[in-house]
Amino acid sequence: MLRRLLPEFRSNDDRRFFLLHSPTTLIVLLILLSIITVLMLYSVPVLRKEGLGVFIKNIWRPSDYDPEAEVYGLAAAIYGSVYTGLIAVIVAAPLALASAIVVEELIPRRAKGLVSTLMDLMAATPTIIYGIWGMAYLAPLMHRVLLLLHHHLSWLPFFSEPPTTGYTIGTAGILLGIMATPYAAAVIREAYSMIPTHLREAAYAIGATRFEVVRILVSLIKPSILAGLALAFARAIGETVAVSLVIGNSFNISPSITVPGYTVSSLIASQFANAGLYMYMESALFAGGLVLFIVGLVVNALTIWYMKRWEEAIKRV
Amino acid sequence: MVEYAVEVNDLHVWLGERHILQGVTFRCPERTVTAIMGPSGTGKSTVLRAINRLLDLNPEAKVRGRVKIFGVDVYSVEPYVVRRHVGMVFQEPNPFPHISIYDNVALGPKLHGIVRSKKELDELVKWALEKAMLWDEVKNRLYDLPTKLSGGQKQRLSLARALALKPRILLLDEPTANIDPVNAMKIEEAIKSIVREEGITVILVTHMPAQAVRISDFLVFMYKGKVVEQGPTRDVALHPRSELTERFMRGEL
Amino acid sequence: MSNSQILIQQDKVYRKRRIINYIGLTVIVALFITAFLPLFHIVYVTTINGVKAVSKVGLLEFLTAPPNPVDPQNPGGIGPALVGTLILVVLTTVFAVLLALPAGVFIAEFRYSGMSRLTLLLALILMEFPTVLIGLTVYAIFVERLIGRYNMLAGAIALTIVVLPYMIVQISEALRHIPYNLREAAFSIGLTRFKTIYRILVPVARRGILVGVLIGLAKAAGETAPLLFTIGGAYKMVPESLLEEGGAVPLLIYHYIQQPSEAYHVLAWGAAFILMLVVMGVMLISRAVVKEVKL
Repeated sequence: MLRRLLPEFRSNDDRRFFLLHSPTTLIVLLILLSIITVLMLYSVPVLRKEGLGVFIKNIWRPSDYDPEAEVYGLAAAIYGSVYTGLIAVIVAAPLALASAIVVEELIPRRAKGLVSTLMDLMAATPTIIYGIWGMAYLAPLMHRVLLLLHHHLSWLPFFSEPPTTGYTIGTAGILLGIMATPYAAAVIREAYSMIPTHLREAAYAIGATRFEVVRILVSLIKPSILAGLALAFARAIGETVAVSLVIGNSFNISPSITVPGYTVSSLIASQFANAGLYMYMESALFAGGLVLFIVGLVVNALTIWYMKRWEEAIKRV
Repeated sequence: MVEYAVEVNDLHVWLGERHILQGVTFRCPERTVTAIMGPSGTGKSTVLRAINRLLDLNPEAKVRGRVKIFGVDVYSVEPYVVRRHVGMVFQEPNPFPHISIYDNVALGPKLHGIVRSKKELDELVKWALEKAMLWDEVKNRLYDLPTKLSGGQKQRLSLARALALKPRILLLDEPTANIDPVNAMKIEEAIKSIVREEGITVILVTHMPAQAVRISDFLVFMYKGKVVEQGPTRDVALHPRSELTERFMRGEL
Repeated sequence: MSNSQILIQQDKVYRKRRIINYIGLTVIVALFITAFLPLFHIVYVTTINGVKAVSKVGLLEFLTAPPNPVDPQNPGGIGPALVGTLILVVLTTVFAVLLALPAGVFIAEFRYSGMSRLTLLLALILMEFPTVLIGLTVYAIFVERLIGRYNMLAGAIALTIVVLPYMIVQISEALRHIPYNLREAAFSIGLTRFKTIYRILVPVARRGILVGVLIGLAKAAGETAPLLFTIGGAYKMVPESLLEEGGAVPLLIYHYIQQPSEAYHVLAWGAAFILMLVVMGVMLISRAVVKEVKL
């Protein structure tokens, strides 16, 4: 095991160089471990008090006088994180896929640079700017759209509640989808550009139309499309400030996207300032962080592993 | 009037600044094998890609001149119509890695809607795989991915994929360059029987004179983007008129 | 039927497929355009609102004066927050480069050892970590335990952790793309490995490395969540030491946009405009330096 961790040294110079640089591994490891440790340690008080119920109950009751009367449950926030994350994926999937296809397959090489620059700008725009844009422009627009949807389609559970404002789960999901699009597109593009020329030629050579070729190639890279969407989901549930500005911040568990809600990260962002006043609230927020951590780690680890396997598989062809 | 399967007339191709083909002209009668041979980098593969318009994919490629199949200018119809009738096998064995062996062969017929029932499709797939001399080796694992096949088997699968469309013309771009001799012989056998039994016109690009002599009726010898010499295989091989051709046949180029 | 007739006949049979082809491609292009509409609208409204805010007091005043949102006629500027962001970005860049350069070298030089591959994997995992968790952790250690109050140093540490993995990956990529013959040439001079790499190969890859640093810097300037839990948010004056509470532009936007009065919103949009110019400027410069940018 140790032998595989270390490279084969050809000289003492090599060995010295390696030893000098190996602490960087420890530093990165230390950062990761301290995040995990802190999240766990700080979650202990609320876990001791509420047990695993903190993840299941939907209640948020601070108490000014009696710490023992405080009750916290993250269910609404966890539900909101997953729900908005899924909406984000549904929004980002067609947009990211279409942009990847256009850039890699449909436009001339010269225009490629311009479009990738735009994509990069989209990814680089600070999330807070997406947030204030969502608050000032997207939310009012969504209010009108959701009113319309509720009016005509209220028999669908997704639009069953009348929207009172534009600050809703649906608005947050769509904003997250917009924000995640360039990241998902980047993953899909990379896979698309890795398709060997001879496979693309083979698709054209059997007389497929351009659209049919695109369909064949897209089905070829389906694994990395899934990976890109998993990444979009992970990013969406981790996003904090932009969401907290548009989601309306209230503890709802409803199938309707027309009501305000919470996500775990927006809950942390908006409650953190008050948390110091209470005995257990801070701990409850850290427990929320722990949930985010576990979900994110699982999604990412799965994605990295899956992509590795797929890359090796496609290289063998 | 004799109808030629392929007529290439004064074909010029530029890739960016490079003048790859400088006026290539030749004709292939129906039901024959024409071998285009010459040293590597002479533009042989480019000729094939001009015939089925795969050059369209390369934004840098510029094409002048005329390519006709069965008297129809390939640039007067949609490219996929051309490609549906002109099969191609590439130097690199390239079955689609994400779909099964069966689906690789069935994909073309399905896209083009040339079968009416599942049974018909099954028969067509079997026929194509038999013609490519692969059926016996894969009949028990038709629904496996092609990734586990050997290089030679993959290449024969690529051949079957092209044959499944019942093409009139088959373009072969050094199909045996990257595979072992046993598989290469099998592919040569398959090509010969396809021409004999199905009346398909074949254009084979190769850099091996021996292979060209073994299977072709006509030879086109190319050097640096130009046709140096062409004619019936026996004539060109036994009595080359150009010194370049002679040297190539002796393996000196 | 002759062969040529079949070809022409087929062209008619293909009508349906050609129509599907056009519809399919049109839908793809329409979705592609839709994907960019938000970006254009964001740039547009941020510019409109931002220019309005900045022109109220003049650019120089806006960039230097402290905010004065109680007076809608003269709301002041974002001076102290801008200085705060500057402090944070400089500190973060120094910290992150000091850590990321050796880590990137380590990954690039020992490609086949488990330890450097582990480093890369850990960096990739850390890169996808929600930044809010990094903020919480740094709060717990540096604000609550060690220093006892919100402070700028904790903010810089949090931002360092956020940008570190980007820089590590970018630097190792830049070094990995050095052509093999250049590597051989560098080693043939006969320097120690340390000198060969830091004196010759790192300068060879300087463009890629510089871009990694620039992108890290842009990210540090725009991040909000990690600061929410670390620097507090004091926008009226510049902190006297790194262990004091301070402000930063993105945090100012976040806090001011949630205030009920209009003057705060004007300041927030002005700040967003400046932030957008800086971040997009850095991105465009990086793109000009190298073609591909990994985000």
